[in-house]
Amino acid sequence: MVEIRVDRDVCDGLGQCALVAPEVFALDDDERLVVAPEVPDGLAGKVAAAVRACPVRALVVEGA
Amino acid sequence: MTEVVDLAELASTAGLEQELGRLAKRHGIIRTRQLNGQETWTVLGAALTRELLSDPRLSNDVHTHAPHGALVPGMAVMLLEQDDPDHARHRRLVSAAFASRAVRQLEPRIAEITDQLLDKLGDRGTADFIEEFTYPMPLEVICELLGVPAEDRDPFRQWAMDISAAPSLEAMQSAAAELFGYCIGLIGAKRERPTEDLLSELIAARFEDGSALSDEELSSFAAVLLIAGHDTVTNLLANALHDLLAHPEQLAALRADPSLVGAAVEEALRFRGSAMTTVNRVALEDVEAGGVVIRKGELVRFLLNAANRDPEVREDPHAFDLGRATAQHLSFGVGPHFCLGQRLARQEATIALTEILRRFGTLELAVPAEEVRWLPSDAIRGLVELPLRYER
Repeated sequence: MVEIRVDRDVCDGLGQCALVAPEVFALDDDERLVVAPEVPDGLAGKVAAAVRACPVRALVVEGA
Repeated sequence: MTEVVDLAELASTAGLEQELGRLAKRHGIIRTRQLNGQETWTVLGAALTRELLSDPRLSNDVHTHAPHGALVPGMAVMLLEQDDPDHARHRRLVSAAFASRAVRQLEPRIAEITDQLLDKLGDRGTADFIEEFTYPMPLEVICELLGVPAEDRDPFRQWAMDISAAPSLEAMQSAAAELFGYCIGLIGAKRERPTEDLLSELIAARFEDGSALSDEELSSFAAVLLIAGHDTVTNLLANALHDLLAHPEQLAALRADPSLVGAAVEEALRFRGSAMTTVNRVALEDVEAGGVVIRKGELVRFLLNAANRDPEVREDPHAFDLGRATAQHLSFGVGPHFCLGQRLARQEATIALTEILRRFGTLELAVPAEEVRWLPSDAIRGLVELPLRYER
């Protein structure tokens, strides 16, 4: 089970993760990051790329 | 692929972006000649830009992997010429200062600086808006943020010009060395006497392991924030004014509904962004992309103004149209190096455009359109000057 943690002190809603993996990440109207409660099967690679795309490394994936 | 494009030569024409769009349609990636004479890969296509800007096989750390591709030999530019984890570790030190909340707090001060500069234009009727507004406005903002004394600023414009729109490699490197030398002195002064500003914060900052930035790292940080923090906005704002004036029906729509200003800023960014070309990346292994093989050790840069005119992803890419508010452009890059200052740039452009149009019911080019001169730069897209006639 893949679990994604967001460091809310660091995340600034830049949305780079959402460009890479829109199935999992999105920004709400206030540019706050919203993460899907469950990562759909087969998206582990995309999620890893989304984590890498973050300019401030605010995302951590656990139990991949 | 035999064609090698000389970007700096193309750039001195107003039709650069049209030509780039034409090239982007045919080639996702081409060979171009850089200022130092060497040839590199240059990515044009929008899809390829998105893909490769996030590809970890392309490294920004040219000093380690391809020193001949560095901006200045032996002087790694903080953030720009770094990979993660160092890049993210350093970026975290300054990201709060450029985050949404901090930038919102700057709004009244940006408005005040804007007012003061526009007041100075008075009733003279004509002025070079770059000299009198689009240069001093963002410079004042970033200098106040960093804590750069007003009396130090005289040489900055020439340094920025020589670095971003370098007439020659020698001029670029000597300006960079002077800027770096200045920043070393500035950091030394702030170490002795800390002030309430971002540079003093950086001097005091400690990483999780208790270590701090070295004087060299601090100077590099100061230099990149100072130059990237104003030069990009100077040229973006001038390009935006130029392109709005060249499209009177779009300008009229914006005057009729000032709430379109956000759309105008985004379309100006797409149509003729100022940070035209990214810094070099180097391939850490062979990379197949866009029908070519980028060999390990070869340099790659991204021509964002081409990607923004790629007809594959944008209908009618050469039309300046505020109506395409949802269209995503690539002017701030994408991925880990997504522009640190994008919120500040958008905020400054929004405030400035709003106030300029509110004040001046008449605003037009003071020279024939074909006499407007473009910087012969392969890095920054901008005008040499922007003489405007204005009337309240």
